Amino acid sequence: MRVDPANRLWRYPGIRLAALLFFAFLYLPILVLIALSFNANDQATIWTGFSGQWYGVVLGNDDILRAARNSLVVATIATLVATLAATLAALGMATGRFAGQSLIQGLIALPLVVPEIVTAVATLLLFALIGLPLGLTTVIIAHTVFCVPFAYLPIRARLEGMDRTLTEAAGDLYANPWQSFRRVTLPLLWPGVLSGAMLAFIISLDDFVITYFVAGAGATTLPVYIFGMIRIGITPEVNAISALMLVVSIAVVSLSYLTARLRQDPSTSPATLTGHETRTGEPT
Amino acid sequence: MAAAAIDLAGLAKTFGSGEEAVRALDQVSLAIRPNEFFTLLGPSGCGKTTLLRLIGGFEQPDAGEIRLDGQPITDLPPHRRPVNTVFQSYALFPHLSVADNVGFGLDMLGWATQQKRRRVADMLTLVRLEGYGGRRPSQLSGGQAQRVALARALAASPKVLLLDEPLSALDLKLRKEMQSELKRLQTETGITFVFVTHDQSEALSMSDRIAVMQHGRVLQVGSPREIYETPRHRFVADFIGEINLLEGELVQAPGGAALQLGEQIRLGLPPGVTRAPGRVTAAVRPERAQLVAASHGNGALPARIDQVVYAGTDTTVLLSLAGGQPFRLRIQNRTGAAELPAPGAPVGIEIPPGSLQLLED
Repeated sequence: MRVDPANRLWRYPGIRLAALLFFAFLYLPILVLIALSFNANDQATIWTGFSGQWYGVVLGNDDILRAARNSLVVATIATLVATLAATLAALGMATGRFAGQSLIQGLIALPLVVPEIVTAVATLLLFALIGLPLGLTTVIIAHTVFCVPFAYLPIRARLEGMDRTLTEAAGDLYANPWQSFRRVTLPLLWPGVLSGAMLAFIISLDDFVITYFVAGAGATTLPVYIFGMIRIGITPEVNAISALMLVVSIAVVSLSYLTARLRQDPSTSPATLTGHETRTGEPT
Repeated sequence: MAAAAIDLAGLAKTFGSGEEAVRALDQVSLAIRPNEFFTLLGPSGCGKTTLLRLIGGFEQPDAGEIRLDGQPITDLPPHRRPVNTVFQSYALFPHLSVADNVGFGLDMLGWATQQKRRRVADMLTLVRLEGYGGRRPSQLSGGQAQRVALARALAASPKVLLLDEPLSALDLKLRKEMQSELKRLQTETGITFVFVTHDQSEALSMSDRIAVMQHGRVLQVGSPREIYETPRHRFVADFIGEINLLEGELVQAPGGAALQLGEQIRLGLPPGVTRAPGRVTAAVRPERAQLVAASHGNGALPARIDQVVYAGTDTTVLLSLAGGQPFRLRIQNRTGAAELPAPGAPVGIEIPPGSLQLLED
């Protein structure tokens, strides 16, 4: 690693050690988990040799597969609906000022700081009051709702950074409001929508507390299933599922990052290969 | 008389409400002629950009009407007006190539692909950016982005092109280049240009006619020459170029109207003055007054030289009049010109009758 000696941080004694400890604390447990998921021993914490057998066990376990499928179904539907709602909300908030706007802005973001257990109990109470039987539907509804603020924030941030005259320019060039949205606003907003959707997907995939409260029989998601297994003890099987979930999460993040980059990167256009500024004789 | 390209009748616009209300436009009426390079000139906050945005359809007037070729367009949204805009920030679409930016309006109007491609190529040639079609806006210099914005706004041959301080982001050399470029484009395309600027020299050198604005009102409309040589308002006289203001009494003398300054001095006014006698302000440009000997007689203002500033093409002489008020005089530096008196010397200032201009406040 190259170190810039001009960076004043390096003058503090022990900065390297502190940084090292910080990252070790963050990532060492995850590395240990991945390593132990390849443990041949059926005691999760005693290493005896390398084996991929626990992945076979996981993929052969119908209950785990059903929970994984539930998780994916919930996360996908919740992400789609929440991102759509968040996009519309962000567009509405950006259109102009109206009475109570900052209140609404606060109300959209508030769930982020409400203790999750409160939301969980309240949601369960609501379902009980309206007599909705607990099942996959209740999980999907609950996830959609708590995913909205996560999807909203990056979309709103992206909209705020957008030049408003661009939509005026589109209108000036004969685009009606819908064409202006489709051809100018949406393409420019897209990276924000993608990161909002990605965040919502990961949050939904990962959620335990609310899901545990509102999931009925047959609506078990992976985190809830893993919790059930842990009560019996940490097994190499749990390590293997966790490692698989990590892979899925990283895959989702990388995928959306790559698509956002491909759409943005000007170096993919052929013009960079042709000559530069010289033709017009202007200072660059 | 041919119909005006744009007719503005009694336009008013107020932003905000209550105590914070700002009257941006106050009863503005203007007729902009076809194929004209028309400039809205004024300091920031005078309402010139608001007026442009009303013509473009980005704002709605509180009162008044806008007609284009005789047709009322006041209630049409921007995309239904055959008018295009060059924005101050250019507002090029960052996610589209230069060619797609230029072709955007044609796309919206439903042009066929072949036709569109040819038109885009023609427009890029017109603004001297052949071969730049594949670039992204982020890969352009300021001057190039400016010309892409022009090509984009001209592509659909609008009836009127609106330009909102389009040169303000460019450095001086480039600005000079773009000024003649704009003038050339206007002549070649024959499109009516409505140009907004706060730069008086830009306005004088490019425009067919100028409207000088202040506090949401149009003070004077005229050719650059009329605006410069016969300003009617104190503000117009002051805002454009340099000028000397003289306070005096308007009197009717045997030789026509004259300006009486103190007991001694009486300066002839141009013929056709119809104002009633009384206190008036008259103005004279520094280059129209002449330096004469102190003994010249009572046709000249007695003055004293304070400072002589040599500026290459001309020399500016800063003087004090008898009453102590400053006077500025400019002399072309010609071959064999006489040596100027030293500072402190008493001199006379002669003002030819035709160069004195009466002002309204």
